[in-house]
Amino acid sequence: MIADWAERIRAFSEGLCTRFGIPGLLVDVLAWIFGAIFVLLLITVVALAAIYLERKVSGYIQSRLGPMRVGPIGLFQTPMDALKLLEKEDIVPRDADRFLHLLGPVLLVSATVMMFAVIPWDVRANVGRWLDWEIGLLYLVAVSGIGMLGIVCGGWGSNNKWSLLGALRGVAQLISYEIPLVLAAMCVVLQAETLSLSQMVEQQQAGIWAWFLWRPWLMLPAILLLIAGIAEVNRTPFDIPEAESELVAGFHTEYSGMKFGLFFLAEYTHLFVVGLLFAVLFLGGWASPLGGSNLPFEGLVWLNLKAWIFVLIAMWVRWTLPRLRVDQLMAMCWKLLIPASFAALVIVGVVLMYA
Amino acid sequence: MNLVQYYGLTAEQWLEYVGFLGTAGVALVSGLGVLFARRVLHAAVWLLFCLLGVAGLFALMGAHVLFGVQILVYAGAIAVMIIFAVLLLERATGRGILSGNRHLFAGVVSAGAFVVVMAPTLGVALWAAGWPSQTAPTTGQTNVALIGRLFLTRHLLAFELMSVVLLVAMIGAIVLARAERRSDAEEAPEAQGGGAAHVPTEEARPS
Repeated sequence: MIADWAERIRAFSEGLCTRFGIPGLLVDVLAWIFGAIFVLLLITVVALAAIYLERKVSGYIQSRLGPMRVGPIGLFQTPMDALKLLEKEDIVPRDADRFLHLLGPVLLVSATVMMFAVIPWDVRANVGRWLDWEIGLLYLVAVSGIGMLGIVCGGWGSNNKWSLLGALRGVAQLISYEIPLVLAAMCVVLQAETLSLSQMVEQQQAGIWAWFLWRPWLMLPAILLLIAGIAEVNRTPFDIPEAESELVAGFHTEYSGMKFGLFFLAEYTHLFVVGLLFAVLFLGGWASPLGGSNLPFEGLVWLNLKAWIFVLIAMWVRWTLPRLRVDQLMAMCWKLLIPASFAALVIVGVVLMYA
Repeated sequence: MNLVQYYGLTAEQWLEYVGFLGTAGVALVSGLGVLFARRVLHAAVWLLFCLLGVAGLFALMGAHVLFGVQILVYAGAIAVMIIFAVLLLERATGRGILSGNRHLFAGVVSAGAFVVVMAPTLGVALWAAGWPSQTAPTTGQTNVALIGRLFLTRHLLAFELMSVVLLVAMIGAIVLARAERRSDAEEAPEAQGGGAAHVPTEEARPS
């Protein structure tokens, strides 16, 4: 099969190393470094593309054109904005806690980047390697929890009541919505009988009808994961932590320059990771909808396309629905989503036991 | 398998060695950070890094499930809970909480006593059992499956008891929080509105 390109690149570099007498283990180390560079490049491109897309989508939804001036159809608008953020002065409030003020965006971005480590990009791209963990899903959930510490550090370190309130709300929301998210993912774990993300994809690769989304008992978890996933990245129906009308900008009120940019990078990257997770759990990951993938890098393209579907849905929801109030937000999670996800878990368990 | 040795160790052992030094160093340094940070919140953040370092040690030993659970429960939940408690306390009292090392002598003595008791115990145990050469499970099953099976067979009672304890703790916390809120609302309805943002009373920076 041509599709196991990762295997071929690996064999090639192994041959190269044997010829020049480099120990085999360094191949692994080099592969990790290349993987890390790939992920860093990817998130930069993804964040820029997602911000451009967000502006365009919001524009079309509001009968505008969105960015049009910089570059053809405004394509260079977001790179230029990123450049502007890079050269802006980095202002730290005088009474801020400098250590925590710096740590906030750093923790948030690193937690988001770490989540990419277990994403199965393609057929056998990381099967059996260190990163194809038997605990893939557990790792993803665990690492995303570190991100909320970044929000707390940033919000508290700014020494600003809006920042602090935003951070408190943000963490309360993230903790609450993590429960339906994890429970919905647990339904898929019950179905697939594994925590490894690439093994979940392998069970769905027979074609579009093999996707877990079409199992009737997994439709409710899919909807729950969609809602909780959008809430998990603090987007508009759930963007209480940075509600502009109440809290200026929430936990990143006191940030400027590239630190502010990092918060945005983390937000859009996190959105994309949740999209990837949704694609892996319900939409067959790297598997082609036609069944089997035969071209090099085909899986990579499919996985990205599926993740962008989730991102587009999230944008569409953001520009359609109004923001929830704090109490409505919590009531929705604790009184609606969590009971529903427990019910879904029981239903999936019963169905799988008797079917 | 490449068995070329460098200074008596294979490349794999070197990598493990460097990885161990790195993660253990993170855990140690941030543990000291917890001790010597003046602000309680800084101590809590150092604690987070300490717990992450311990998680790295688990990963090096091939205990992947423990690694995930360590991050999820300790770094994700307990560190967040400590930080939350500190945040709410500071907001309620309006000034930063400082942690001093007032009981330095007693602390050093008790830590020394701990070392005196533990070191011989561990040493004897290791001497009797021999230094373990292999840590990763050699059976065909994954860690997840093994742990899951043990939970539901040999350790079922402990597992169920733990979940009951956690449930009781959760319900208890809800009951306590409800009672407190009701009395708060009767006494001082405007108490929430007047709180200013926290003003650091001390310009101390982490050492």
